[in-house]
Amino acid sequence: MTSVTHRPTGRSSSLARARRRARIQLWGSVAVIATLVLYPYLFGWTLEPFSTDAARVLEPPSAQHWFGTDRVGADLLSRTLWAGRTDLPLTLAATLLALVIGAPFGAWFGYSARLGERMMRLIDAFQALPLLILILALVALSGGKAYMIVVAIVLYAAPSFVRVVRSEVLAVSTARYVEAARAYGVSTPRILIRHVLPNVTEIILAQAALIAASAFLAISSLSFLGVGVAPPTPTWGGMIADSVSALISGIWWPTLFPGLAVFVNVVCFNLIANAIRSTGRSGELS
Amino acid sequence: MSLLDVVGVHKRFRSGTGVVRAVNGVSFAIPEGEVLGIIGESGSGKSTVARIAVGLMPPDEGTVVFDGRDLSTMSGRERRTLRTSIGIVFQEPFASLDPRRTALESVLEPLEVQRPGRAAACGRTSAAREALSRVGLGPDLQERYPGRLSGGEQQRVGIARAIVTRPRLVLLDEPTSALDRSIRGDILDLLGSIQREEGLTYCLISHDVETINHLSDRVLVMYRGEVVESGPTDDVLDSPRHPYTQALLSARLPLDPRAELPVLPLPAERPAGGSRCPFFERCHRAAAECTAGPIPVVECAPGHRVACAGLDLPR
Repeated sequence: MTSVTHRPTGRSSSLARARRRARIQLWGSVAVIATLVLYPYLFGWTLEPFSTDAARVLEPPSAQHWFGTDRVGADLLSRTLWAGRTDLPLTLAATLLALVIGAPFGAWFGYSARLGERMMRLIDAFQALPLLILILALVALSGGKAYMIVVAIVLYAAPSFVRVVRSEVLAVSTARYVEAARAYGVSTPRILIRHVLPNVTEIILAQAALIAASAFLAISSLSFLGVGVAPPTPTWGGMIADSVSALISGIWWPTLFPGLAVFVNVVCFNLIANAIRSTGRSGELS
Repeated sequence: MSLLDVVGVHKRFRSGTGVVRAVNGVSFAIPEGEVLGIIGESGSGKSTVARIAVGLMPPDEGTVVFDGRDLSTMSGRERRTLRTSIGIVFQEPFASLDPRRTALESVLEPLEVQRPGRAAACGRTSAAREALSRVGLGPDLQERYPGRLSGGEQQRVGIARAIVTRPRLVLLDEPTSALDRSIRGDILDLLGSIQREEGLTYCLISHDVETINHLSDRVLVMYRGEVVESGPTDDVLDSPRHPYTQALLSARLPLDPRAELPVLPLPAERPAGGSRCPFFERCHRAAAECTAGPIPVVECAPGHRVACAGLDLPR
């Protein structure tokens, strides 16, 4: 009825451009993370993360060692790339597990509003605790087993999923279009599958990417603090902690490259979240 | 016999501070093929009455009889049939359409309840397309998502969804209040022509006098959960008798901008004073009679009833 119907091409092309941009963001970021995870598995033979050379300690980046060497003379490029096979799978496993555990509770608390209200206060109280310190204690006490990190991160991230899923389900199940479907006699299972699920998945996935970013940071913080995966297995946090004292004498490369890796991953997780949010909602991207 | 009979309906809601009596003893009937308008300000209980009347909400007291059947004694199966024999047009066209379903899919939904099964799929699609064409949405608009339709087009989808099952009664809950003024007339004309052609029965909720005037045969004026005046639309709008109706109508702007506004004074609220009249606290005509006992309902012209104790008093 407005100019929209008269100039459909102008609007749909800008819409298509925004969509294309979001798609590039999404798949580019997924590709970066996938590469960092898969490279050590597929091309592990090109890396030498564990061979040390006492004669070549703390060498700056060169043609032979692109990222330089660390204080025991190991190749930093190899170690930085190798760390992807521990840090990222731990992040993904923990996030996925937290989603699988948190989402059903969130959906439940979203439907039974009264119970949900009470349970959310409990979760508030839980999240008010200094979680990272608790996790630190938990992981340290357990002797630094990798699965304990996953358990700890699940404890850390699952409440966020409960919160996100609950608020989404709450919003959608009280939406006018759900009310309308009910008024036309559509059965509850059908409403759930047809109206609620499709309208919550995207936002929940976007939130999952954000939660993955914070889980990843938590894992990196843990390994920086020396709890978690035991050396000599390289982790980005561990590598930074290992050489952070050298930074003062101008030796920047052993901390810069793992730091960059952490940065790139966090950015990628955020870009994924952003892209999912903006490609979704067929009608609303206008 | 009336298609819809609402008798002595009450509804109370618990609020933070106490109990709100949203609907307080409302009765009315809609004969088949007629349009009943319910008018009142926000919070007057008009939407609650309508939701009770179409069975979306049970009343605390009173009965609702649709097509000779009491809603409260219906079986699950009858309820399901009821849901497709009453169409509803919602107030907010965009919010009432699932953003992820096209216009056609939204209109198909009530049909899937009415005629389930794969065998009927073809017939359902053609019925839905027919309903969409009837409201003026061509094939290219039928495949669009609500976000890519204008407000008026969205409400046309809402109307198509309400009439696609060929219902006996259509509830129009503020069908134009979310729309631009320029489109309101089109939508009202469309609703009027559908009603005439199909011989439909409408229950129209609105706070807008013009909307009511445009469509309804009879009108019900509600204030604080009670019916204060009812009767043929022309009667009530041309010669309102209840002080509240008079105040409501005087709030309309005249067509001529130079015309003097007939301002009716609404006094600041006075203490309740034990009157059973819902309007007592704001009435400019309140008198001793108003606190004397039950408020009489006076039939001042054929079918034109007024609930006021001070009718015969001088102004």
